[in-house]
Amino acid sequence: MFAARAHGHTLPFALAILAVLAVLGLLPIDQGMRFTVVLAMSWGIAAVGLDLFSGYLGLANFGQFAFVGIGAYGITALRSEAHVNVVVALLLTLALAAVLAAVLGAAMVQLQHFGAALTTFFFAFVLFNVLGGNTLDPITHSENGLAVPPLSWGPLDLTANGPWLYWLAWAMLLATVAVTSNYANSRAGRALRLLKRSEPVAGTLGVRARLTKLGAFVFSAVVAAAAGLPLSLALGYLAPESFHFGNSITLFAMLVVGGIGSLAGPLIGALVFTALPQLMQGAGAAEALLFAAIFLVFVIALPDGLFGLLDAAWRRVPVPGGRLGRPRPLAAAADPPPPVEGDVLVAEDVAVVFGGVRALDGVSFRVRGGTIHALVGPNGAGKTTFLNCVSGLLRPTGGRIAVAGRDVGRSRTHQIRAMGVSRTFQNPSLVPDLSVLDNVRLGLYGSHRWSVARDLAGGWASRGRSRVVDGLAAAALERVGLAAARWDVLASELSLGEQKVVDIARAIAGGSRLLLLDEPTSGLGDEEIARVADLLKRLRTEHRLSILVVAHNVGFVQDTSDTVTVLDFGRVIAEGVPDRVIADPEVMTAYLGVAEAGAEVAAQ
Amino acid sequence: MGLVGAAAVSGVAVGFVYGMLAFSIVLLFKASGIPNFAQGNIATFGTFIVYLLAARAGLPLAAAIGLGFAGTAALGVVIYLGGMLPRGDAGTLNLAIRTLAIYLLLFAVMNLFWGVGQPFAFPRFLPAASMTVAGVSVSLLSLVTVAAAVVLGGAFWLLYNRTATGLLLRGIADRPEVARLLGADTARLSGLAWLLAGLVAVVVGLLTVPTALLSSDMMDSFFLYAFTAALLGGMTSLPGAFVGGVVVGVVSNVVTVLRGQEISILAIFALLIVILLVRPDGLFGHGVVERL
Amino acid sequence: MSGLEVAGLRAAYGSAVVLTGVDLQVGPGEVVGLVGRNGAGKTTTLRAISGTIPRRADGLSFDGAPLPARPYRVARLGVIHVPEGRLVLRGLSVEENLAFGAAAVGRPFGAAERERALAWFPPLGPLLPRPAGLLSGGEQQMLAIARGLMARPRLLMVDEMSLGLSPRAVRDVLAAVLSACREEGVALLMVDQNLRLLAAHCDRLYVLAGGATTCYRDAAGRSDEFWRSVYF
Repeated sequence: MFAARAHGHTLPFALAILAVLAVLGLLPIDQGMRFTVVLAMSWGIAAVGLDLFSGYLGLANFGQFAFVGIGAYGITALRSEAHVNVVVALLLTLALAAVLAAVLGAAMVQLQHFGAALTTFFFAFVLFNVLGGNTLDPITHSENGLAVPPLSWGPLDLTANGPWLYWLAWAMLLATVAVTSNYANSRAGRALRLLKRSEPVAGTLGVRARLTKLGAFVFSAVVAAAAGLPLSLALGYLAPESFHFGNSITLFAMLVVGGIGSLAGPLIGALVFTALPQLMQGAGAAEALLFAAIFLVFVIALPDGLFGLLDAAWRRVPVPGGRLGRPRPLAAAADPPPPVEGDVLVAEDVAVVFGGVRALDGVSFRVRGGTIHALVGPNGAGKTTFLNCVSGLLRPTGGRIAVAGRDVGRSRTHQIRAMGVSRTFQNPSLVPDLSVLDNVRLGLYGSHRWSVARDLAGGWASRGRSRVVDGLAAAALERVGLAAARWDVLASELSLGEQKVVDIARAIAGGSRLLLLDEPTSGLGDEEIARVADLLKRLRTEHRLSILVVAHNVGFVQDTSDTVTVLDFGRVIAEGVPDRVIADPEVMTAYLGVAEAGAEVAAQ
Repeated sequence: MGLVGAAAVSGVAVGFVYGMLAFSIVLLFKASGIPNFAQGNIATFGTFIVYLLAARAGLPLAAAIGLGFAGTAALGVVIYLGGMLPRGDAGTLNLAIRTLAIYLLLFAVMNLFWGVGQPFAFPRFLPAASMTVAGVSVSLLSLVTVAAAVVLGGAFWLLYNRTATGLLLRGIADRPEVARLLGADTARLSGLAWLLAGLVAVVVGLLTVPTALLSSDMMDSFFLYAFTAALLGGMTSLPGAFVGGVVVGVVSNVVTVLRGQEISILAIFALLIVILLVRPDGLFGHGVVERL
Repeated sequence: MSGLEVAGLRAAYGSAVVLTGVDLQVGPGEVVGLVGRNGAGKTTTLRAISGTIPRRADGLSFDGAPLPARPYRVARLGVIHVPEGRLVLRGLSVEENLAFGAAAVGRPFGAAERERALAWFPPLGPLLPRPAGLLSGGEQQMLAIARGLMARPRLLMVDEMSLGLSPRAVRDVLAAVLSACREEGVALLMVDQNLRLLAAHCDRLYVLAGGATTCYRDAAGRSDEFWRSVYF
């Protein structure tokens, strides 16, 4: 998305809004107002569902209202044509929406932003035409409109005339907010937020990008379809105009203005901007103009929306004792993984060729279990390329890489993660709007089998596992030496040194046998470099981790590494113990440059 | 000639209109890297200006068209200066979403000021004649459309490929930072690109309006088809836009005749998805994948 | 005519201060080098001078005129920054990239200009019609520099020219750059990791450490031991 921050734990705000709506429902308001608020709540349901996909995962989706249309027409048609009971109609329609979303989503998740935007917008256009066309006319009665059969539940009249529709809509909104909030704040939600930040990093932590994105898309579509129930009952009569494709853009705009990625913000946006035009009579086009202008201004100047503004103001208020004063979870001592005997990593003649450039040209070396091995060389020598091969982000064009005896050349990132290989990145790529602890929890993503359904069910269903995860994450943070006071801070507020250390904690939290560190010291000052060096030595000695570290800093390498491999232009030019390698004249030349070229040029 | 054949021929004609709108989208995309979702509504807006001047203010049509060009070109520059230039480094996704806001904005403006009494019949500026070419009846409008496409297409192609200004326009989208380091005034050049896109938009509007009635949402389906055409041709290929347009035009007309309009829309939708999945660079584009 | 004068240059990325007070001068026609460890801020220095990032300085001028804040104005003043990573314009051919360099500052590009570019960088000759993105690293580096020279600058600033190039390519490119600049009377400021190479060719060498610079005059005459202590 346009770098909008997502916000965790916004449930209290959303519940406050629901409380206001409940109070409103108890007041003696007139019919017209009631109708307006029910309409607004229906849009609110669709908005909250959309926010999960566009705000937390960060992908554009301009087809959400089409699914509301599918919901409204599906439920109504089943009830009026097939005389199906409303609950069954709802379930069948949600299933239909899920299937359609899965098919559309299967294509969408392979596209980048522009493709996704255009595809979903076109889908909304297709649906609008289908609803207004002849093919589905028997179901949609497109010429005359489709009448919505009155609904009652026992003595309760759920049509637009009675007061009970308000409570139905309210209850559905409450359920939507609760479930979506659970999703956003769960392991699954963190995975979405990491995907938004960096797909490669997510891959190396075991996240399956396409499947995860598809799940989020289907979720938002199903929620939208559910919104069709209260909407159809309120309207009483369905006509295609109510589901014009422009509505999806308007809905998206409400998210942006309200504050995309906060659940509560889009809810406010939807409520306010649906209700206002209804309440201000006879000013239709002027509002649309005002709304579009507000939308434009927000996209340019306030992409974080109203909620973002509130959040920024809220952060300025100093709170003694920290903001999220949760009791510290007990740091459970994680069982150290069994040390690897023999070679933990073997590279044989590894080659990587990109369009004529040999990034790696026959690289062979070994890393013994339980040691720290440095991979050094000037910029562009191929070090990161090599790490990408080992972690599965890149497939080598030739040669063999084996981890603890198993060939990984054709394995995918999450499979390699499952084998106990974890890594850090030159750019730590922490999720900026998650706390340090939440970021480290992501390191445990691939460690246990889990289901999104349990995440949706919320806190009580996952409490046991939550405690385990918290404990392991805290243990990792203690191991890397980050003060507990920093654990609740948002990652965007950390210094570079702290970010790099949290990246390491994220990598070791899930237990690993081989840790790949990509330039853990670049950009750091001397003190921080010394701290990182100490950490690595502790990890090796106390926790028996095998480490392959890419570094530039010669002093750091001498201090920490048992053995060194030097790369230059994709080839190994030296190998051995640090002292000897650094004194090697060829290595000196690679680092300081070639003097002969100078002599030749001067002679011209 | 059968029904399908006639549909194909008229599909070519309407394809050139899609192609021209696609052409204006590609013009702007080449110079800015941004897909302009508001391009259809800019065309409608320009057509409204001409309509108001000719039908309501009573100006001679030629003058109205001239002023329409000027006004729409100015609109393009205003949109750029007000909507795209501020915080112009916000990223292509943010900028693309701004064009959606502008789409909504223009639609609202047209409804607010000229909503009453829509749709309007545009004053006739072409005789409704038709000729027979190779056994097929071809309307004068179609011939004028093709001629306009050739002239405009040729002129802009020359501008983009044979002049220094065109070279600069083509270069600033890939790496605007580098262009600035070399001395290019990217703001002025981008403003120019939006101005040119506005000019072409008016032509598209004028060629559409004889067969449609003038309304705020006149271009809605057109612009989605135009995007599909632009993608099919390759978002960086000017001639490709016309090729894509003709393909979309022919496919949609033929399928409409065989199976009806809804299936035809579905067919174009399917075409869009296939292009995006299988060949995002389109037929003639290159190196666009990462920018999308 | 005084060339580039930089005094007390300060720059930061957000709250991370990178440059605390950089001083350097490049006189007309001089060849000056800027070296330092990875992450010292060499690229930041060039970006600050060209206006790519916001900066403050006690003095920042070229030929007596203060350097403007916006990069395209700095370029039109005669200071061309060739950024690291080569960054050729991928949608254009080699020849079009060269022409762009001239067009951006409003200069003509015809047969004469083309010949001049090819005289400095003969390997570009057969590559003229090829899409620039398909060239090898060394070829792209030559193109980026030639493109910069098409603007007829008075000062050329080249960032990390040798990055990712083979020793032979570095040798060829450097020889071409030095001779082109000498011919045209263009001053040259080079930032590079290849310390020995710069030491052998530059009139003066600045070492960037701790956000500030130290100037070394007789760079060519210093020993490897000396440089190793400075660099590491």
